[in-house]
Amino acid sequence: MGRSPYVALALMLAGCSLMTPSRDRCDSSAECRSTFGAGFYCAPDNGLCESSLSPICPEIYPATAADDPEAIVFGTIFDRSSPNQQARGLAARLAVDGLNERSGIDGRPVALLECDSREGMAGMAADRLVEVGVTNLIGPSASSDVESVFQRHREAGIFIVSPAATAATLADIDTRRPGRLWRTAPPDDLQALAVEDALRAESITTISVIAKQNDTYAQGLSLRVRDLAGPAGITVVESVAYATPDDIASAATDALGASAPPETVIFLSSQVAEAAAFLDATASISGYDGVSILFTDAAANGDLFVMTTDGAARFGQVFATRPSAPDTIVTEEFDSNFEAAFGDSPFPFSFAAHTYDATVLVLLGAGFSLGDRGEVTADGIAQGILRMSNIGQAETRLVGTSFIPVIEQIRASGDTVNVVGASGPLDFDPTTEELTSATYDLLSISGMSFAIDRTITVPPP
Amino acid sequence: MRLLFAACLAVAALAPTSARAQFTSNAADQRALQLYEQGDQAYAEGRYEEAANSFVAAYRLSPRPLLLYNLANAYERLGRYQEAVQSLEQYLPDAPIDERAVIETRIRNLRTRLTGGEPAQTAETAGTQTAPAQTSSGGGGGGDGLLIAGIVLAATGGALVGGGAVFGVLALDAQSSLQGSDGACRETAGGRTLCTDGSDGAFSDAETYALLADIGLIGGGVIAAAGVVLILIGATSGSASGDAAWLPDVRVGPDGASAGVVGRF
Repeated sequence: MGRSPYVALALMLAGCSLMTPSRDRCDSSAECRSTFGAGFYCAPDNGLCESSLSPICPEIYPATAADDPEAIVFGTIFDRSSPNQQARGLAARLAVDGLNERSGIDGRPVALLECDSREGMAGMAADRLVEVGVTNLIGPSASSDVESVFQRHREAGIFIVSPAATAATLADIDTRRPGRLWRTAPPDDLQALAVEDALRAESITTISVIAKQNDTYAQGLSLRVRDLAGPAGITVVESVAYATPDDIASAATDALGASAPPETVIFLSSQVAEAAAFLDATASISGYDGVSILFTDAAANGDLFVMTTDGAARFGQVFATRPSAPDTIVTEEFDSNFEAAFGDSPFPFSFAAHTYDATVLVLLGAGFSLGDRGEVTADGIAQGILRMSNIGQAETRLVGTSFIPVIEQIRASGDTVNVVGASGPLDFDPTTEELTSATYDLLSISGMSFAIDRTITVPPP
Repeated sequence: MRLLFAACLAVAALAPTSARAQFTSNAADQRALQLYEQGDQAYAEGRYEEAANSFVAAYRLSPRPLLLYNLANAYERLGRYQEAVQSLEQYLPDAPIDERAVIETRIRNLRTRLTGGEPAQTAETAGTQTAPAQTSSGGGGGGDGLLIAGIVLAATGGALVGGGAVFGVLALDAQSSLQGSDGACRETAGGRTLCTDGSDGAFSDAETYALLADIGLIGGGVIAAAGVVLILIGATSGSASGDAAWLPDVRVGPDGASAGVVGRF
């Protein structure tokens, strides 16, 4: 017998160890993505790579990226129930297509993990994106959402470019340089100037302002408008704040004042549904007959016509300000491509061009980061965006054909460009990292759509 | 061979009774009868030397042929095969015709022992009359028991190993399906194996198959090895008694493999 039984046993055990399956716990979502595709993340509870898709982040675009380990994924947060914000999602896709048609970044496709912010779920959407390790985001739209998301996840290294958050106070919450909170929407300091311009042009001398409490956008813009009113010779009759949609009717009454009603009531909320509720409330208040109603960008979109019922009778009294897209070759290309891809013009939808620009900036910034640091990081993207915003240089149009050349140029040591996007010049102040100028459309309602009465450029050229 | 030996014993057991019937009533015969009875008693109690002496003394007083037969039995018990042969040869012409063939066979066997067969039995090892026969016979029966147990264990172990091999193949198959290019597990650039949550079902199957393979191969291997050991012990025991020989028979060929035991009775 000798040693032969031990040898046989050892051989059997070796065979068994070969048969026994083994798997390792994943260490990071990046590891899962580079192994299985952009649609996976590392689930910490079981150490397995799971799909990033969930009810709150239900789609990855393009779908093929889900199983592509080379794909570089970014997050979007838009209200997928809102036609207006659906257009923003499509604009982001258009930017992705534009880069992927040119082989992406160094041959790697880019992708979007698309999350939903309907019914106040922007925070949950951001939580999910951070959980799955996607921290470079386009969106959300509402300033208050942007502020809460950024504050909650700044330690996780979240990077945000919002296409629609305009609250002036957002400029104060990110003190890093380069910063990790950007926007392609002009700050409300500029919109307040556009509102003042609109009021003065209509010779308005008395106004009331209704703004939602705890709404970063509404409170910030209300403050800026009231600050500008006095020097412009405009009297503020009432400044009313409401807490919930149920308080809108009483706020509408209060805004008319105790004696003579104002010539114009400015209603400020980041939620278009509340603007519609305000119109509905005024329908039964005779004091609003003859009073003009001013909305700003948050309410100046097609969703207003879907949500308003009785208040439709007041459409003729409404005028609005909204950041506009300049009439440039970039804007034309964006409009043309959007319509070709989706069968609709992006014009009725607010901030679609800004969303396209926000996405392009993030993608090209990622291109800089990948070349400069070998990986896509928040600081790398921010550095890339700054390199695209050298106001002193000749303008480079941010159309599809220039995507790759721009990446190559900003990767070159010490080189910069000055890009113009679909929403206009993307000139960021090197200190505040805010847009330094903007154009706004002054809108009125004609039938069931907004019509441009004129364009306001601020500051005045 | 064992059957023949048992037959001899039976004859031996019957022999003293037959010898007693040959004595008459004269004084020498009476003394011879007395000596025969002492010898018979001593033989029954395993005192073969004393028995042999009594039978010799009785034969000298009364040369009855059957005393030679009893004397041969005693000599055989004492291991004095040559004297046993002489006694039987001397008895053979007077033996009943129908017993002569048996006695001749017995003589041949005794001669075989004399020429280097079985070691001569000593009086010290023969504690009782029946003990030597029982040891010899019982040794063969124990070998049979071990042999049968060994065969059963080896067959059971072999079946378990076969089952283990089947589950091993299933485990490897499940594992390869997990790790294919479309599988739920993939190797990272760093050599780590990561899996998606879609791997849980197949992974669980693979683990179960591997466990069953482990049980089959290790457990079956141990049981089969134990069976083979018992077979070898049983075969060795059988060979030592000269009655049987057993050997494990393992064959491997292009059509498969087989395991078994071959032997002779």
